[in-house]
Amino acid sequence: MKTPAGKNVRIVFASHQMKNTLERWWASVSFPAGTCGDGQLPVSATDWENRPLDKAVFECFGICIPIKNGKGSVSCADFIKGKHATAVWMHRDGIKPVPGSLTFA
Amino acid sequence: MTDIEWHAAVKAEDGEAWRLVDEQAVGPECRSRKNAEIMAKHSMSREELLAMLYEDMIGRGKIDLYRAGGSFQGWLRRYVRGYILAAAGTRQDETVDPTGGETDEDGVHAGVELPFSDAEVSRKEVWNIAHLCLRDLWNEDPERALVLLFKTRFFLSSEEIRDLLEVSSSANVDQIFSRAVRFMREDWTRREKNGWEGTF
Repeated sequence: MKTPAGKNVRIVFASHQMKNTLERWWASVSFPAGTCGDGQLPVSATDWENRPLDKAVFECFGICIPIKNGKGSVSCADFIKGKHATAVWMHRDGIKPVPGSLTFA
Repeated sequence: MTDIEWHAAVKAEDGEAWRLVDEQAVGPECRSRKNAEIMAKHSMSREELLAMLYEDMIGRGKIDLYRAGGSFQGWLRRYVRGYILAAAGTRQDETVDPTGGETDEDGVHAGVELPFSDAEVSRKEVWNIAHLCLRDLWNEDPERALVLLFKTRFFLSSEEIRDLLEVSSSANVDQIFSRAVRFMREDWTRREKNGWEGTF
């Protein structure tokens, strides 16, 4: 895997529109320019008001990515391995897991 | 009834002749798709058009401008079309006035104005529909959704996507993209037909 040189790509996932806005979330996965091989892809996760999630687990690409202070990471290998996995969930303590999906944002 | 007889009867304000004007000149213009859209947008009614035509023909004496030889119906229809197009050029978008146009003591319009269409709402609807379709695509095959996003949102080339997603060839990326676009198109149609279950 090799990310495009000179281009910073960032894909954004959003929770489904839950009635309770406290349950909503945003998560993004960045593909820094020129990352390849064993590199890590930064992941960030926030609540609906863009406040970083203190402690959460972002389930995406078939793996569970730990989030601390709104930050996490996924390896290129895991990303490629899980590129066909459909499940996208945000797990947080005290809040039931909330599903999400890729967005155009 | 010939055109000459019809013209004479219209000029004499004959009820039957004016009914024919409504039926054969005003009606067909109101039914044309483009005119109907303009009329809806500017709150024009068929009756209003007929009244404008009557005012011009009888009130201002324009009925005398008709020269025998041409189609009387066509001549009248040109007037009606002109009223509609003029309204499109000069009128502001009309609003519905639930109070029936009442004004307060200062003469200021007191009614709540409700727009016929809201561009912001329409844009939001399209945005939501697009996301619902993208969600469907993701659930069908996330790789397709990623290829679609990389191509349309980030303008990555097929070669860049091939390297990023470890697809076997650029041609394969193009094929995946083509399938993604087709899926989105079909999904959009399906959702339009079956209604929008769920919101983004």
